[in-house]
Amino acid sequence: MKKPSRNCDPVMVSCFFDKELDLADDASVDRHINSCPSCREMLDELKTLSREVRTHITGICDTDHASIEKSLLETICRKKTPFGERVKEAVLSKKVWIPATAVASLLLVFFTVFQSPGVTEPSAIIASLSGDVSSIVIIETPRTRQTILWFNEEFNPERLDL
Amino acid sequence: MVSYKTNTRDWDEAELVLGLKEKDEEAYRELVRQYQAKLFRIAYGITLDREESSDIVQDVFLRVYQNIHTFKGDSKFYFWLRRITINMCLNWLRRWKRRFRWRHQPLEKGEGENVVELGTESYSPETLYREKELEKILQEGLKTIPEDARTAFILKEIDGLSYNDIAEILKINKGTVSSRIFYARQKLKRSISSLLDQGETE
Repeated sequence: MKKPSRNCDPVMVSCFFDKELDLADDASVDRHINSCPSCREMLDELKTLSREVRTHITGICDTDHASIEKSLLETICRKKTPFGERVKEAVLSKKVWIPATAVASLLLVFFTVFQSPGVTEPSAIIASLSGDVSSIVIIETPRTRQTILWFNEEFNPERLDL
Repeated sequence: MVSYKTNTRDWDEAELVLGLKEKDEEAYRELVRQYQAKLFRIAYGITLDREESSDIVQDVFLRVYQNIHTFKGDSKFYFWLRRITINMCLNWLRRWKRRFRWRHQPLEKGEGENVVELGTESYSPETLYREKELEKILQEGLKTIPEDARTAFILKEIDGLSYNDIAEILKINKGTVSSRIFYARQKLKRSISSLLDQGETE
């Protein structure tokens, strides 16, 4: 690229390219560009860049938008349908009842498996035994008898009479 | 039930707006036909995301459906549509999650991979490859421009708006528009040069 001179103003060239200068500035920049190879090159670059960007974006966006039209018209039709009808449609739609059934099943399983212990009942320790290795407690409630067995974490085998 | 018959009527702007206000299905079909490509280009230029642009344009049309009664006709109908589109795009940009997604798309994916027929005269494998590379480089170059500068730049390049119009839409002063556009061009030029250099050394 040619070296810009002191009079070169790239911002002015950019504004000139966009036709955003007032008449006097426009004429002045135009004269300068005609006499300055560096600014002329800059202007050519702006033209190329602009063309490439427009081609690039237009090319990407140059697709069939039929889906937009279809979706919009369907939404409009839906909105035109009376509220009662829409509720009925929504309730009967698979999108509603399939997830609703799935959630209901999950809740049923959850409450069946992880249900709370219910009402607390009186209980009594009817026997307990503590040893070096483990301990046992037998608890009785009005309906059941339960044995709880646990092992001591700090086990000393030397204390065993083997 | 939606019908998809072809719209053959010629609509002027006033007729179209009236039709939209009366919720006429034909008018909505015409709305999409006339404006979707223009709005899509603006949306894509700002978001650089094809899918999101499609969603945004669709949302714009839905907003028109819901708010057409608020359009008083003080400005051109297209200006109103364009303003809604730009506002929606700017809101989209503010959502960091989505921004994160496109910033991290792999280079190889290449936005806008149009399907072209291979082996035809105008699309020899070499030409096709060069065009694809250039597209990729342009796409990556556009991504390196900060969003505020890119928005001003795209409104200028794609929709040909004046600095005054851009200033009004983005609520900034004319001088800022000028410097943002200049900055965007410099940044894009540098990014493209650097990407082209990288490509040559590989």
